[in-house]
Amino acid sequence: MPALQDFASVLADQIGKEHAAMFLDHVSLQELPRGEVLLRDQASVSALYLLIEGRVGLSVEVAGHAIHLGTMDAGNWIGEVAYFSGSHISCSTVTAETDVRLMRLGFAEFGAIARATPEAACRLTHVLVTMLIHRLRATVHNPVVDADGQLFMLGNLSLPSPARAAHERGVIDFFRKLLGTH
Amino acid sequence: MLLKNFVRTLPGAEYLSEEDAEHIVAAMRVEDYEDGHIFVCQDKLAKELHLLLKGAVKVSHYGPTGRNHTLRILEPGDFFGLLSLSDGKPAVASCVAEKGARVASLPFSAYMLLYQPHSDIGCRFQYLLAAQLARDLRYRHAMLRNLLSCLYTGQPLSAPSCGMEGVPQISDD
Repeated sequence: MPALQDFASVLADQIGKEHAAMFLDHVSLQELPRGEVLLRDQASVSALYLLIEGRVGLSVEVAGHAIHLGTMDAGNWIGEVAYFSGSHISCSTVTAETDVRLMRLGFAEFGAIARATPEAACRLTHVLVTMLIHRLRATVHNPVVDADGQLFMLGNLSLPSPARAAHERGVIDFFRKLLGTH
Repeated sequence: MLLKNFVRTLPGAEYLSEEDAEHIVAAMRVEDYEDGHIFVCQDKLAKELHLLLKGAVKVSHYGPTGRNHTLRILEPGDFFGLLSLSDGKPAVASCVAEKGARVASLPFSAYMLLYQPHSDIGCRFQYLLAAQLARDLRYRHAMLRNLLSCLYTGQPLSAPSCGMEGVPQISDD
């Protein structure tokens, strides 16, 4: 396995070389082959992961059914919702869509860095805040069920005409296709 | 309970010092609002960061059919208006006072100073922001699970937690 230092620049690009150095003693490299699950929706999680190579898919699951939320590429973090919500519970299933390489930072280690070198931890937290904002914006068009049990989507429901032509098998099939459910 | 003490009980506030909380609170305006008061209007830019102290705030959205959908009821300790304020894009939902809401509001200029992590107080404020955004995203995913459950079982799951358990009530003083 390559050395951690080979990937230090991924972290340094986000928070600066000086601050990245504070983290390198506390992180480890992890590899995951394509198709493997890193985190399972609603299961406990104990670390933040920086995706340094490859791509992962995100989904939420209920009783064997799933909604595919999208993918994340190298440079993105995983596990921040579990950490900052204080739940330490994963809010989605994260699956390797290619072979992936990750930098793992335990929640306990992150907490220790926040106490010992607050500036470094806060720079990383600001990066994670920016990513959370982006992810919330990206989910604006997710469908939701309102307080009265009505299904709807925020924003524009329009589908391009080729996609419309593919949905002629009834409402449930339409939504399954639309949501990427299986 | 004093507002500065209330702020220090919020999720993500563990790194805020008493002095930090005093500075944040000093920049906030606290008011009681009639039910129906609109804090954040859908499709318009948020102008302040709001912190709900008492009562409730209904988050709702006018859909393409003209129907008003209630997305969520915020609880004391929830910040709102954060997304539009941070990324400078119009809000996707309206936030409306309910149950005699008391709200502390932080002006945009003060928020932007805290949003940047270059000062000590801004640095520690990041954790409050991160905690709120994480709760919002967790809630969004819980709603998606509800949708799945409705689609396949016809029954929604139990109401998703807002993650505000343990935040004490603020007093009338």
